[in-house]
Amino acid sequence: MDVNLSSFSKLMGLLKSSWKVIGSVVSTIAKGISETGPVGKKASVSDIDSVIEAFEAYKEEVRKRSFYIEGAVYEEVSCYMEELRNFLDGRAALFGKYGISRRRAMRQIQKLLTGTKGFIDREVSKGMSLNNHELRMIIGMIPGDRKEGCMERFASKVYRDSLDAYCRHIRGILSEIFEEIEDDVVCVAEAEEERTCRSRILLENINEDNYEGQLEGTIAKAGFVICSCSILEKILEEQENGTF
Amino acid sequence: METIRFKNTELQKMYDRKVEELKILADRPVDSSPYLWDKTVARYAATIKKAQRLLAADGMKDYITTGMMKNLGKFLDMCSDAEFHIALIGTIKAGKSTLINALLGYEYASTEVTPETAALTKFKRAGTDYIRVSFYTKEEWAELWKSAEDAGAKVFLEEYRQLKADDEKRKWLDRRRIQADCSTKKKLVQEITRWTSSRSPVHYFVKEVEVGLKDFDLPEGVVLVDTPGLDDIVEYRSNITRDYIDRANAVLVCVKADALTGQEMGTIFSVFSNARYHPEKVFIIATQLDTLNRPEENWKHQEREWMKHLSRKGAYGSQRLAERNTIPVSAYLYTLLKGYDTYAQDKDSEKSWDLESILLKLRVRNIHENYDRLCSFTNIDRLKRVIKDDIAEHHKEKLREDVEGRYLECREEIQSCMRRIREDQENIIRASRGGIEEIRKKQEEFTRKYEEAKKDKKELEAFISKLHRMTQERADELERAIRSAGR
Repeated sequence: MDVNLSSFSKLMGLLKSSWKVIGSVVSTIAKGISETGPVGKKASVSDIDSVIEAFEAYKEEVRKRSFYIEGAVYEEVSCYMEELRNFLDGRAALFGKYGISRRRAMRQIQKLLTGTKGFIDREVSKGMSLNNHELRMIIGMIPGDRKEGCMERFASKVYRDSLDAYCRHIRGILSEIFEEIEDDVVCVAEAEEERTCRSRILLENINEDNYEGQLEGTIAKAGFVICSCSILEKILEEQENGTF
Repeated sequence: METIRFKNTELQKMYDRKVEELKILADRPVDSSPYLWDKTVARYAATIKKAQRLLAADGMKDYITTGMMKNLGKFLDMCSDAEFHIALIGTIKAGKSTLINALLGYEYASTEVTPETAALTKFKRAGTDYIRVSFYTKEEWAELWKSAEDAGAKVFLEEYRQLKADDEKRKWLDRRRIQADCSTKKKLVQEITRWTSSRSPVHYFVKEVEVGLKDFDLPEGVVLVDTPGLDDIVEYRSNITRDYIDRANAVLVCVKADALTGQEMGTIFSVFSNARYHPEKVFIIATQLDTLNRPEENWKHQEREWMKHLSRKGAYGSQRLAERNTIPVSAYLYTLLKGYDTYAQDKDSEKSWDLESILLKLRVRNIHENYDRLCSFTNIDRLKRVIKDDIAEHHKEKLREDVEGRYLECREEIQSCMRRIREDQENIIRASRGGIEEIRKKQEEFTRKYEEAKKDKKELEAFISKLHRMTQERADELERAIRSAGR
């Protein structure tokens, strides 16, 4: 399967250019924070208010940018899903033959598509939070270049860590999708092989010499399995009709 | 169901007996106790449990794949795993433990001034009163210790040294979970204190405490979680709270009802930062309402001030949500009112004095005449209703939908499997009845099918391997692309 190059290069272009924008956002917050006085344990509500305002402005800018990144990744993943769907459809005859359902895989895909939205923003929000020791230490520093440098490094790190977490998230869900499909396909293939083998052996035991003796035993075994199927189907039906 | 008759009477008897046993097995009730939190879910779970039992029975089990049984097991786990976690986070001396005790109806959590919670403490409904304690592994402890040293947590390190906790380290790290059943509430409290008190050296090594309660005055499935807080100097421990905020279905942030301090604001906004996109799950609990000079009037004034901060972006982002999710409470007064009969006779008891001073502030002379009004003032019953209706019911509904979707998948899987097995077995019966020639033909057909299945299996395996490669490549490409946005 080939990668859809046009959408992928669009993604690459967008992602590469985004650092320039984020870089300036990082500089802005670093500058803003470096000009505020030390905000420590005994800070007033208004001190905390102004720090939070600066954080929120940073988060908002990153959110706007990450919205595009996530949108592009979403598009790219959707493209992959479409290709995956086509790939699965290409084996529709084989899948249909064994009753392999794509439903579970599709559910996972849905999970992926909903779980990616807002992920970077959520991570940035968690990182740029006053419960972080390093950040508390930075805002507690006296104004100046050192404070600006620390804040710049911290804000960049928060953004990069969020992207790393996003990568792990995407990779995790892609492998979950793969495992779902693998589980379904491998199990069904093994079951089919096993079942036909058993049925063949059952009949193999009957020959001209023992036909009369074996006949009823074979029918009894098969009949018992059918009976089990019927009971099971009835249980499922009763549940559906609410009579369970 | 078609009745099969055999000439061989012995075989007939054996067949009938086996079918009868199968029917008994199908009719035998299943243990639904883990699923009783919801009637619909309990019905789905009982169906799948019965199906699981029949599929594992003799005669049938050889035709069923382990994958299918695994899926059914996963479904049942999902049905039984109906817990709604409510995390409690408090600023220093905000009365978090008093609130927990009011919600639980007994003084399980220590209300001493020194902070007691260094580990997650979970309270849940159970058949017996018990405590279950789990400990850090050596690796986890090494990380925690490094985190304490990195932060220069002087108080933590000094207290650790003074309590000679290091001498006990080996005894507790990597230790298996301990469970103790308690015959009385008093013993349970002693056990909780034993493992969580900051004055005992062992508390450093306790990772989590689970308390099972027979009397649990909150809805089925609710787990009340006392957290170490977000401002623990040891980042490893504050991260436990942070991660929990993300996972919890609701977060109650306890803040003293008087004027907000910068530190409290910091904690509140940290919670919102960690609950981005879900501010509705955060509830700000304004505690110790009774400590205000004129509680009702003063709170009205405070509330207006609080709303200015809480309705802004980065918190609730809406005045309506801020008002709806901010609940002022007086947990101690609630506990005093509920336990009134136990100390009312002793006018000199601590509790009698405490109650009297609160009643004076509230301009109440006669407790009996004003009992309901006072209970209503504490707002604890309102908070309990929020927990029941807004939190537990809401999440039950979501979980029920998930269970329904998954049940349909399991049903489809079973039905499709039954169809195929039935078809094969009917073919066998038809062929057997058709004479030796028919049997040979069918046998050949099965051999052909078997060969075909082997070939298909190979093809499917190749497909899986290609899919694996394809997924891996795409994940690598995406990772490379995403990382380029941060360089």
